[in-house]
Amino acid sequence: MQLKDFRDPGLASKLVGAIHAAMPSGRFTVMEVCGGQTHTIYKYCLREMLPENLRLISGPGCPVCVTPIRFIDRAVSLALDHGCTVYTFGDLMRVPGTAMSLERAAAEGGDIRAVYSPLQALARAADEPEREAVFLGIGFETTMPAVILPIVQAAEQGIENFSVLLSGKRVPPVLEAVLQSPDVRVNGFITPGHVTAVIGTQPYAPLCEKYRVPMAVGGFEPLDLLAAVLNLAQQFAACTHENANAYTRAVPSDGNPKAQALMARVLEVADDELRGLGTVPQGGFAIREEYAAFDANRRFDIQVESREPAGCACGQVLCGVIEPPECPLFRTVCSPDSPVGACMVSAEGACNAAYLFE
Amino acid sequence: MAEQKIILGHGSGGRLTHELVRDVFCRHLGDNGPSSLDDGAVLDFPAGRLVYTTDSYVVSPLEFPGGDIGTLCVAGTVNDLAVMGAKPLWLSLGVILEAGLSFQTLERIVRSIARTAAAAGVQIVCGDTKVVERGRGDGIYINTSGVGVLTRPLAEAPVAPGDKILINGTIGDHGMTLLTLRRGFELGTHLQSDCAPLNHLIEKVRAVVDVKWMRDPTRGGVATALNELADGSEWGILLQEESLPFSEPVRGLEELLGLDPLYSANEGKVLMVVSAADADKACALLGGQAAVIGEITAEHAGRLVLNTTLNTRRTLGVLTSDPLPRIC
Amino acid sequence: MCLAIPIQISRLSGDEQAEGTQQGVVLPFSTAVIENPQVGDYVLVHAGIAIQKLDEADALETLAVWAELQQER
Repeated sequence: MQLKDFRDPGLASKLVGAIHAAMPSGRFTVMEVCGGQTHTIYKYCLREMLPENLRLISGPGCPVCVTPIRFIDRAVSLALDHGCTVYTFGDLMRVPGTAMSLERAAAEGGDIRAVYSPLQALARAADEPEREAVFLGIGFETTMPAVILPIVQAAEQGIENFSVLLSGKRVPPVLEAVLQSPDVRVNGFITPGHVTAVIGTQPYAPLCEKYRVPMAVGGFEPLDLLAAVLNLAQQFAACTHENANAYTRAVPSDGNPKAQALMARVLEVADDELRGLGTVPQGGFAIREEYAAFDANRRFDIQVESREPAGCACGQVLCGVIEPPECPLFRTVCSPDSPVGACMVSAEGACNAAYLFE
Repeated sequence: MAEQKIILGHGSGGRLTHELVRDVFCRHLGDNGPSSLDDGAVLDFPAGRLVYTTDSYVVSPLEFPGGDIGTLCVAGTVNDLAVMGAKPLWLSLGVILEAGLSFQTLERIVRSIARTAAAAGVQIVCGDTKVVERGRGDGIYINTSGVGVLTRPLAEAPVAPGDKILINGTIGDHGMTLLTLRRGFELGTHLQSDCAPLNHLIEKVRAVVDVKWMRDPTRGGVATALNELADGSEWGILLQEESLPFSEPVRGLEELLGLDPLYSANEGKVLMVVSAADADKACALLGGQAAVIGEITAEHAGRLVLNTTLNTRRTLGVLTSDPLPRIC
Repeated sequence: MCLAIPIQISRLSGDEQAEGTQQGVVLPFSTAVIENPQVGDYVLVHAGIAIQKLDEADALETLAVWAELQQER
């Protein structure tokens, strides 16, 4: 089970050959909804290998990209106005807020620390009881267990200076929002492998049925993504709309019931704002009342005024309506050095990838 | 006896400063230290052109697996001279100490400076010591400027398509080592910084082979250094992903943290461009895990391109800012 | 959104913590949401916690199926 086994060029060649052989005529658009998959596609230039009539686009699956500007502003306020120690995944540091990014807020004196795991944030909060510690809990369902485990542990261990500013999103409602959008026509989806490893494949079934669109769970190594594309190509040819799984070694159909139970214990489903999609019904999570003490939204009175940057087309890029180069700000005003929107900051953002890799 | 520490008085220029210079710096620098403590060093410059460089070192933590700020401040400046084709001769050593720094730590660092200077065959000929208040420095900041002599410029034949690009060993070790020490990313590895002076190795290769271009890929890594080479040229650079040497833990960290070691700092590596005919010989002279990692190509003018393990090609852009590990 | 790495569990400790190695890097992680973790199991680790067990037999079978594909390009 070595990673390199799933990057084998010989097997890649076979999968690509099979895709070419399976694809019917006509133009088809496949959307992947996962920043990690976007990254792999760009890293290995998988699009170059696919048939001309198969267009592979990236959807709103990058949690950094779909995080509303208001969230960054609130995080900055917690650091600068409320004097909290803000712990965050590295990905968020350079996302522009209305006034500034977290990186800039750190330069202005904010105590902002990047960590690999929310559990590290809790450990350090316990070490520094005199400081209010807030973890910026962004992510889709893959990350939610990691974000809420410290809440449960803090409650059990009586750690009172720790809370989470939550911006957790749910993939199935996001898929539905894309399917309902009049601006983008998607013929098939590669569903995110690690989200599905947690939630299981069942949540996608009603969508396949209702919209008659095939889906295939995809992994993150190039062969896994090619295998998911192959499944969809075969489904296009057969005109089926099945809820398939091309990442079976990591994704049992029921996902991870223990993780699901933990999530149900701490979180409830809520309507939520996703950048580029507006408010998505049931699109996110909120922390339950019993754990209100660990909900930074309730613990702190955070006042901010937020504004989208003028001309930023992140919303359209996120939904695959336009490609990065079609945004008027791409390369002219917006670059990784001076990003306007999140799509250019995040290592998985489509604009960032397009800028660096092409 | 209480552990001895640097105090503001050590920077006053008086007795304490004098004792610090004599008992810590001069004592540990030994033969590689200044021969007199005048305001300036009077030196006899050999025949050739003078090459001059400077670098400041603010690394944190001060000590890391494979080296410390002392090793770094000598190797870094020596290597800057060496990749210009110069023989490094003399270094200045400017030190800003933070009050509260322990003498033991300082002595370890100065001993590293001495050891690295001896290994490189260079002399610290002058220096300066200042002390700032506690809280206004990261323990110690160092500036070294270096003087070398260029007797034989790099190869006359310009870089051209067909030429090969070599590196003397594994990529990204220093940057990745430091990353594992940053609080919040404490991951156990046996990874070490590659920090080392390269002047003798470079001389050995240049004695036998015409080297057309050299660079030490420090901040920004191999990808940034090669972008500097390609930028504005009529030719491009094609790297072969299969040929890039990485140590196992660097590969592991790449997977775990989502960082590209091609953008991580190296402090003991040199990139060289030589003709195709000389590539194998140069590689053998470089030894260790040296490898031919790519070539100059007539295509992709001005760009650095990577041929991936799946034989697709993508551009490697210039690093925009400090890479932070990602979760996506 | 899911940088999760397959790691083989090399050590388990009582408080739902474990350790594994990925190419020479020792990674500690939580096993709080894994059923019955065992030394030797492969798990996917994301942001410091194991989120799923990997099925080795399935992995080998998948690779074998792909190897059987006839067309190359």
